[in-house]
Amino acid sequence: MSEVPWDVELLDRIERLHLSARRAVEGWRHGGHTSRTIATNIEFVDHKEYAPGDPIRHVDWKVAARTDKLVIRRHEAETIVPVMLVVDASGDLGTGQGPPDLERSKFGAAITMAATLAVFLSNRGDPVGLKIVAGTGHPGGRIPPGPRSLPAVIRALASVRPAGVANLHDALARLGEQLPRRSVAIMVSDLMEDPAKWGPSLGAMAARGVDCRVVHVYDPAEWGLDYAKPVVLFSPEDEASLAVDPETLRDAMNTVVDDYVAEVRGVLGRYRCSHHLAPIDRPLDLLLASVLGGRP
Amino acid sequence: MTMTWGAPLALGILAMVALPVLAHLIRRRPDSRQAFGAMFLLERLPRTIRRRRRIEDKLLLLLRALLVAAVVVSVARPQLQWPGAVPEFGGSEALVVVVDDSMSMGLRDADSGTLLARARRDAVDLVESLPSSTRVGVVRVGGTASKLTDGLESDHAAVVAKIEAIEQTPYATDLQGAIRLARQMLAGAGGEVLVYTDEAGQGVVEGAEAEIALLTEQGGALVPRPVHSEDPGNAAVVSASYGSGPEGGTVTVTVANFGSESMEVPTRVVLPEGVEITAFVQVDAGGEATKAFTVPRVADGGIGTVRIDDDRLAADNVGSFHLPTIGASRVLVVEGDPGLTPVASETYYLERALAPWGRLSGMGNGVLPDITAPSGVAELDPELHRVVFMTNVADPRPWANRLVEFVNQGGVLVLTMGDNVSADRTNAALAQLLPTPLRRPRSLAAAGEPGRATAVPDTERLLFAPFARGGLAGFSRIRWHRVFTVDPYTDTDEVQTLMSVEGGMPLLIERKVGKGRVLLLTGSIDADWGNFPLQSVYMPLVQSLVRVLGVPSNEASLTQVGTVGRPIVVPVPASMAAITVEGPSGPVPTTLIDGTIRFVPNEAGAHRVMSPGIPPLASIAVNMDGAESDVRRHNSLAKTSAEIDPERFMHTAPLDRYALWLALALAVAVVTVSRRTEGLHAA
Repeated sequence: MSEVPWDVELLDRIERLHLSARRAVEGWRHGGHTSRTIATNIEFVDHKEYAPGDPIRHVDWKVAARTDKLVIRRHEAETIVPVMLVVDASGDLGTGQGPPDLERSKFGAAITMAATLAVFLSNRGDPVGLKIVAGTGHPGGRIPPGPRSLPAVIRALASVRPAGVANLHDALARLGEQLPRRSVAIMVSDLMEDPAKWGPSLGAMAARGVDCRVVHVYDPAEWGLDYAKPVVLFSPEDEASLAVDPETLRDAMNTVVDDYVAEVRGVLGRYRCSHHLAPIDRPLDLLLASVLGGRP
Repeated sequence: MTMTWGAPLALGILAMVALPVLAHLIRRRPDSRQAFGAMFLLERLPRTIRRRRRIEDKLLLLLRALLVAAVVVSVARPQLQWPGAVPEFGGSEALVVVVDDSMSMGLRDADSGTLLARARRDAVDLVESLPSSTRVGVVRVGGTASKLTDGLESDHAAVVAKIEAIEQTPYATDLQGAIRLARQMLAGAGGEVLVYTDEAGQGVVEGAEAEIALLTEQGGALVPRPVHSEDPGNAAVVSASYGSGPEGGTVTVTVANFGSESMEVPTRVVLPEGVEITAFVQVDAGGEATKAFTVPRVADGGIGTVRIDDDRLAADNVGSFHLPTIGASRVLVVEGDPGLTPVASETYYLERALAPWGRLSGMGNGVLPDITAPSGVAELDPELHRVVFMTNVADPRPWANRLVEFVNQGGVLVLTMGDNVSADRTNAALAQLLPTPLRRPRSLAAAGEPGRATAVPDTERLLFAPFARGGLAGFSRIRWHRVFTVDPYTDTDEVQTLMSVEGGMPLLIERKVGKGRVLLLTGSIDADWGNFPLQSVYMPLVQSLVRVLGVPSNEASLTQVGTVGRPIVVPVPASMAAITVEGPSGPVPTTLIDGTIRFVPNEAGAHRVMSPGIPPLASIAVNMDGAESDVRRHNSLAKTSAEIDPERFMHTAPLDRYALWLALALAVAVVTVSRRTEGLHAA
């Protein structure tokens, strides 16, 4: 088994990005993500040149008087937020034309993304955990977030292979009971299950204060039925097959996809979870910036 | 136009057209399998859409489907049907053969003689080919249709003989009557009526519609056997009549062309005395042309003929017309009282009435008076003079024999009264000629009184016929102060009162003597005894007197017109015996019934009713029925019958062979396109 590589260059690029909170500013730059509570101890970090939109009350007037420049005082909240990565390794992830540097599948894109997040967050000092749903070849169970869990996370991601059915509803329900409040859960999945089923489990997590972010991995070629000629399509999960003529179904498929994405967004929006569409041919830095920023 | 199927059940196989479609769909079952991670989405597609297949090689599929369809259609034996066909003889056990022998069937075709000859030949061939069990009857059409067999006969040889004996008639087409007779022969027991006809003439076919409908209702079937000329054409004399015009008048002839090309028709008008006038008449196709032939200033009256040259149908090449005597009727006026002045002359008014524009003008007007003294009667020439007026002649005895001879030879003697006339001398001299002996002059009114009026004469008489259009009232204004009385008499065929004074006293009495006639005017011809010459009717009456009485002695007094094939009735004296009718080709069969002689002319031309020793009793100008000359087909018996019995009159065109050829062509196309398609797929 080869070691799972990660994109160091990519990490450099995204290091400058901020893991900003969506709803709370208290956690700004403290742990790199939004704090769920008001910080009890605020530590000065550095200055930053004022930019339009920055809070006026954070302007350091003394420095401004000395240098004749407006600078902002930046602080870091002393809040530690554990991040749990949930990676879908079901059989359906094994398809698609993913990046060539791993497995050329959606799953390859998914674990690359998860490993990058794990290294980034770990480098920032955030405890990172991992829960792999379905799949085969990994130890199973979950790796709880901790300061030294990164190697185990990387090892688990490198060893898992897509197989089986995710059954997101059960997996998320069990995980939700185990996650502490004020934690962050980032789920990387193709979401090929009924949103009406797994949505409530995610909602239960969000209700407990977990910041849920969903990275929706998909292959545009699959969703667009981008095949040159008629083909028998089969599901790796249950071997169900269907002979299709792509040319005749393409328009109908587009409609189904649009409806499906709208449905997913509706469910996630209902439970205040962010949704990040992640086509596997999209540059990873842009995607990670979106995920870490908590904005789709 | 309708489509029928010989084997309609075979159309059920048309479902096989689906086979190529299925084959094309099955062919599209993909060979390759592809792992697909969005089956969850695919399953959200509606099931009908999910299974949708795209048909490729549409041209090939179309050709294959058409190939299957063409094969199936050829097996189903399609037939195209449209009305207008002539049905075949159905071989029934009862058959009536109707043969049209009307005049138009005499039309000569290019090679095969007349249409009738062809119709006879075809009918004979048919009868000879019939099975012996078939009973056959024969009906002919011309004139009044008639049966040639009493009923349906099994002796085909006898039937053939009857058909072969059918002769051409000059008569019209009685198709309706013929079909009625045929229907009666079948007696409602079904069977077929084969009609051999040229269908020529306006309204002939339409007139038979009701009978055809009845025949069909009674279970019979009409089977038309049209006998047509390839290029029917005929020129015919449609009409000929004499009328006024330059010289001696004109004979107006109308010639019709019933062909498809214009033609120049040589036309000859033959006057009664044998004079021929020839001209060429240009007639457009399907049209008529009228030509006026100028008659000489002098011509005998009688029946003239018109002849044209047309070989196609000769029967209607002749027409006939009545021609009055044309030219000067020499009138000898014997002056009995010259008087002291011209106006006082007995003949002053008469001369002007006979020749109003002078003596020379009489040449053109047809009356040329010669005025003479009584002694001039010696110069009377029966060959020259037609009429002699004896006006107020005191003593005719010296010339009595001369006058009697003149009248017996056909001359007309008009005696007018006056103060010079002596009843005794006149009665003695002209006893053989006078209608009734004279008695004496009688005053009808005193001097200064208006005189007694003249009774209005009967315009049915030829003498007074010109006044039928007007001027008859002028007779009432003729007043008489004096007239000669005569011995009582009774009107007979020999003696008739033509005019009288109001109250009944005879004024103008006619007597037929020998070949001639004598007219006795009991008044004066001048103004001595009345105002006759001063009235408007004077001149026309005198002119009519000369024209009517001055006809040649060999002309008949009764003229008629007739049509070939239609009965002509002529009244004849009951006492006359041995009355015959002479037609252009000789004696015509006649029937004498109740004082009339009846006959049916079978050719155009002059017909005369003759009795030995006397002029013709009547002359009849006979012409053809113009409708029968129209040899063109205006309606189709088949079409008319088809409207009544559509099922039997359908054209049928089998299409299976065409479908088979189409299938073969499609098969070749399928192979060609298939190879090309496979080549493209392989590439």
